[in-house]
Amino acid sequence: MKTLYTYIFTTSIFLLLATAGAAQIQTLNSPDSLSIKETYGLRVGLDLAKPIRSLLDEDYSGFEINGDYRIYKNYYVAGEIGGEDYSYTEPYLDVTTNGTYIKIGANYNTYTNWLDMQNELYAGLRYGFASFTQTLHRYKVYTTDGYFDREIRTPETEFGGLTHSWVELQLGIKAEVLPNVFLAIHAQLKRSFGGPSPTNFANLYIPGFHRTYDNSDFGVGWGYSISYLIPFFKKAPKKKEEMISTEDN
Amino acid sequence: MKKYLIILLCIFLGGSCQRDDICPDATQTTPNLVISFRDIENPALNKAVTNFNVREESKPDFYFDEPVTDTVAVIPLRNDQNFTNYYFTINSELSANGASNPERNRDQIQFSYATDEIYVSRACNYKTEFYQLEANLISNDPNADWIENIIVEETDIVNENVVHVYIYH
Repeated sequence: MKTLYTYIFTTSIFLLLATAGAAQIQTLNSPDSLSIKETYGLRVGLDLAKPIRSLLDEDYSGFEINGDYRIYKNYYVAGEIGGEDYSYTEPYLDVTTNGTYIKIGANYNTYTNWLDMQNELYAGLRYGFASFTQTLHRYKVYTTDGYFDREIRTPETEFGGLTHSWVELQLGIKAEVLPNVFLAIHAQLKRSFGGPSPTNFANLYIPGFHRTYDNSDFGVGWGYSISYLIPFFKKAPKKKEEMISTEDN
Repeated sequence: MKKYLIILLCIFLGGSCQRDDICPDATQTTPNLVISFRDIENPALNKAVTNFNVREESKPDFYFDEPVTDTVAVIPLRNDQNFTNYYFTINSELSANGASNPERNRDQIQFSYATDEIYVSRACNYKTEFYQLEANLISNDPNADWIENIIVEETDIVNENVVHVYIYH
């Protein structure tokens, strides 16, 4: 399964780069390059990785919608809302996590587009918050002594009302593959702020944050999404030449 | 900006490289019962039990593969019920022809307790801790008991760093 994900991931990056490159060559031939206007609007999208995984992995179901709005030059207000239901088995544990999450923050586009291209190479920062339930189905009592068999318990304990918050750094690429349609891929690095721990248990998987680590507050993730930009208005960017000439006057 | 990114990445990589899916040996999981054997005539002194072995009443096999002569025994307790009945055997060795030592003597002790299961970590999972430990000699061997007295020193069994029970013989 992991190999498959890696394959999809790598292929997607190549696809993105290829489409971005091809699109730029087209624009070079664009005749009206003198009157470039940049589009401002609301971009809404859907994460593709989560539904694909939901189909392939019977222990997982999840979705995420995302959106961003360009507020100024290269700055975007951005966020995601999603939900995950994931059952996983450790050698001595059998647990299901179920819940929703929201991430709010901003993206900064570091990529200087040619002409009227709208591609992005961006860095983003998010505050993430998840609300979820964990159900402990089964565990084995850990003993180092082998004289008695290890006891298997099936408590089906539900730890409800759990919350967790974190800060997340995103690095990604958005490529305009059709007019106002974007494919995007990004990687996530998260640092947990923590949250209430369940009594006599721990948060092992958190929707939106993913797997936790006993010795570390960090988490990782990635996303692959398709989005559509609903154009609100167009605005011509300030040109450097114009600015210089103004100063001369 | 770039500098901070690199620092962030370093912290992250450093933090996640410790594996947390294998339970480390150093972690205290379900503790065993620590028994110290003392001399009934001189209670402050340790006294080894010659060719000692133990067997839980429902198990066909002895706990030790070979009888041991030692002043300390560290044995597990059952965590599926609130007592463990052990047969404590002295002079339990067999001679070359398979006959047992005529001095062989078997006493039964019931250890009773309350249990609690406590979450440890992702890999170590849950451990059992034992509380309100009591130990009683419950059976007589025809050859008379070799165990003279039992004193519970520590009623809470949460680790193996202390002696929980003294047995005088």
